[in-house]
Amino acid sequence: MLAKKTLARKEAPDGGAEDRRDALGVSRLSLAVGAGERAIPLLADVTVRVGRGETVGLVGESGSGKSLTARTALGMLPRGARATGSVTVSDVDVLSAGRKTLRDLRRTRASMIFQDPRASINPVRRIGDYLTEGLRARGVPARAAAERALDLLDQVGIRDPGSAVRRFPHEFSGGMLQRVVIAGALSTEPELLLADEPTTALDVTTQAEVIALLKNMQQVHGTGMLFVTHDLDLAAAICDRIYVMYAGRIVEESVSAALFTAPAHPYTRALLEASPSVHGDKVAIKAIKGRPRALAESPSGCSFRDRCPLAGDDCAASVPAHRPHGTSLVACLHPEQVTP
Amino acid sequence: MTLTIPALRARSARRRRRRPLIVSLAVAFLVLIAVTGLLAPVLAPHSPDATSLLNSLLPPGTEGYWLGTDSTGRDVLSRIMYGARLSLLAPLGVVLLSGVLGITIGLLAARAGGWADAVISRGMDIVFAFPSLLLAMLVVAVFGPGLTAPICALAVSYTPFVGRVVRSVALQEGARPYMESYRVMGFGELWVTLRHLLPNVMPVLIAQSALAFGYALVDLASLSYLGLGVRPPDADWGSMISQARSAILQGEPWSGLLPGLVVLLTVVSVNVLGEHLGGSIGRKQSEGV
Amino acid sequence: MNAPVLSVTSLVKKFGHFTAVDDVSFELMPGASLGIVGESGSGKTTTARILAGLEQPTSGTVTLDGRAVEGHSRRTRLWQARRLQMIFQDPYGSFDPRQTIAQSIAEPMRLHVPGSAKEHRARVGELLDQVGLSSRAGESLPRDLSGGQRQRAAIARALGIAPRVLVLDEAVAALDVSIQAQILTLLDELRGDTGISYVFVSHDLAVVRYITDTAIVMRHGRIVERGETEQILRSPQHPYTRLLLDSIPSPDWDLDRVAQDRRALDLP
Repeated sequence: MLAKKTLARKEAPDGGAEDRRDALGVSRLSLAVGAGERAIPLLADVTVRVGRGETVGLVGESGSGKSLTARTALGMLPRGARATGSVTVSDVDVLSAGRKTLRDLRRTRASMIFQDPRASINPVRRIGDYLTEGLRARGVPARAAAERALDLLDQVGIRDPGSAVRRFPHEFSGGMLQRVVIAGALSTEPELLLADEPTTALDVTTQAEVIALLKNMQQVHGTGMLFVTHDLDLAAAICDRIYVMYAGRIVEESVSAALFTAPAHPYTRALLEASPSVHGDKVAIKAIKGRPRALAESPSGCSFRDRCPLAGDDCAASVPAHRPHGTSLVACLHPEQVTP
Repeated sequence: MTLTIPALRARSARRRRRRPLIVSLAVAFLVLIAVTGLLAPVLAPHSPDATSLLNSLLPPGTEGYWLGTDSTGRDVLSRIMYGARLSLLAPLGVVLLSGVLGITIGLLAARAGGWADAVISRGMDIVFAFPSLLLAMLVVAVFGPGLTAPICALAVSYTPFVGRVVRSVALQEGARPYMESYRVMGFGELWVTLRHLLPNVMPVLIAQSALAFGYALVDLASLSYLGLGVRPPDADWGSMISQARSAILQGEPWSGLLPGLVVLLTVVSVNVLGEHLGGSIGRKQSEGV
Repeated sequence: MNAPVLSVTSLVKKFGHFTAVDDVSFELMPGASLGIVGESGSGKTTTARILAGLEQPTSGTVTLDGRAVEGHSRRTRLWQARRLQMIFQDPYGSFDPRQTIAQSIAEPMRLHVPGSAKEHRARVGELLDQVGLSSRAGESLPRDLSGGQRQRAAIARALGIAPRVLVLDEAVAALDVSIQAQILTLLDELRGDTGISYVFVSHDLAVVRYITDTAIVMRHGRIVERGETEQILRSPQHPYTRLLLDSIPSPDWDLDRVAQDRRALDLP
């Protein structure tokens, strides 16, 4: 997995015109619903990059805006929302794209997997129809699409694909159905896969299977993946890089291996200290006071300052800019107090 | 400094809860009708029964008879005002009676479950399938005209209408975890049903009852029209329309059209109100989850 | 003092031909905390529901406070409720949406704890304080509270009856990590302060490790491993426990080892 990581890094150099080679480029994205006084901000200044073939984690608690960010990549904005900044998938500018461009984008370049596989498959249609639908829409002949569906099911480890295509979603367990959804998502050979808590509804042993499959498929197809999750351990286990979100902002970006040993943002560290672990010695957990906030209800300046043990008066002045600290890019004035 | 989630929600909720104009109009109309009915002896310009063949079939707008007179010279306005009493009270009786019956049966079916539920539900289906007016006419045929018999008959035929709604809401509400948590806390089935289930079923029931009220009003007016409801000389809107038949044929439709219009407006108002209540409950419940 | 507050012997629960709980036995000492670990379909939730009197066992006995819980009569249920309470996973649904939190906490107290309305009100205040809720939260409706606050309120409501055993069914599973930690530390404190015992039902081994002393691991309705929680985590004996442990993601997660575990367990 390590070799893979360096490869991905090399393939996706930072900055400039090369950016369009990225599977996903979200730059300074801000999102708000409503207008004027009544406007409720949802995201502020979110920058996320997913290189080709790279796995990037987007981690946060409820209200952090992680799912919202992922959905924006497919042009799925909340109703009445206004966005500023830029979102590009491959070389498509998503925010200014028309309906047809977006449809083509979702059909061919980017796919999304959701938490509940049952909610994303039409329950009265057969598995085979579900898989061939996307292919047929791309103009693949019926026979070829059917063969491809069998092949895909085989790849995701469904036994006896021939009979599986004729069965209905309710005949599958949650884990098996999520495999089908993954097969469907990858059927169009997308450059970007958005996975929104794809294993949260599954048992832990099933999660391991589905993750193994997802990683394997991603490597085979060279797909860039944005993995949205609340589970830091899971993100660290499978991602090359991780973005930590809090209250609609990215507070830390780090190489995932470093995140656990040297968190740079107080929130990241607090999350790690709040999660009990099965590994190593039993250590006390430290709760974070207060509750996670959405952007609209967060304090001025640093959003985390009302819950942060290190917060000082300077934290209220303005939203901290991202600065490098160790291997991280962190939006905190005092990262040296978190990890020297 | 900070906005809290409840504050955000309250802000948007207030905006949404603003009552639409049509609902305000409906409420205003219903209040007007109710008040005129209540204060008819004070407000009505004439006695509702005072016949005067000299003044028969005056058109609306005549001095002293603003809405005209019927074929026996009775003042239409006064009769509409007095008629509001029976025309509103009788459907209210139907709604209350069917409400009590429907709640009992619906809750029983939902909480008992199994074969009891099956029997009750099929029973409701049978009553439901029976035309309510036909049932009322049969009852009147047996017990003679007057309002009590049709009220009871309509109440019975509306019971499944209420019972089904209560049952489905009670099933849905009863499946929520708090019902189970009360059981774990040692509360009895009856307590949980009456203290926690019923109040949570009530809002839907109220909306449903508003709609039932409208149907009952029309059904009772139809019965009166057929001469099976209110006995003359008592006034209600249905019988007024009925008695205007010959006048309508003579080309003097006013004495029938005006009470008809009042029936129409009342039913529409009640339905608008019912829809609104039902809708706002739906919103409240979806917010609660 | 050395008698268990709760003991379960040869518990079996069948739904038709399906055996949800198969020969489950365990004991819980006063002030102790027992974890029941398993995945969906393991029978852990059914076991919890039997303990709370929501299901009747097909066979086997539950002995609570030295007395076997028999039958389903009103008196038995009251007796059982006074000694054993349950916290559910869904903090959103476990309150009557029309009652304020304080009313919800006071209601079971009126049933179980003798005292005047004034005494009950004072006790509600104490309980709110004990679980870290403000009196303003007490006057709120459930929908105006966050998930973590609701779970605190549910704990306060259960504590109001002063039960000897608290059964927690995935009680922190629906909460954010930072809130989960708050509830876990609260539960830890409460056990230290009141000497209450926990049966902590969860799929999450890390949480179970934090909150329990001993644990049983269930699979397909049967107990596959039991012992000190630390011991189970350090040297799991049953291949299924090993699979569970290795399936938990960590920075040095080895998916190949998970696959090996699975083969060792003869899973497809």
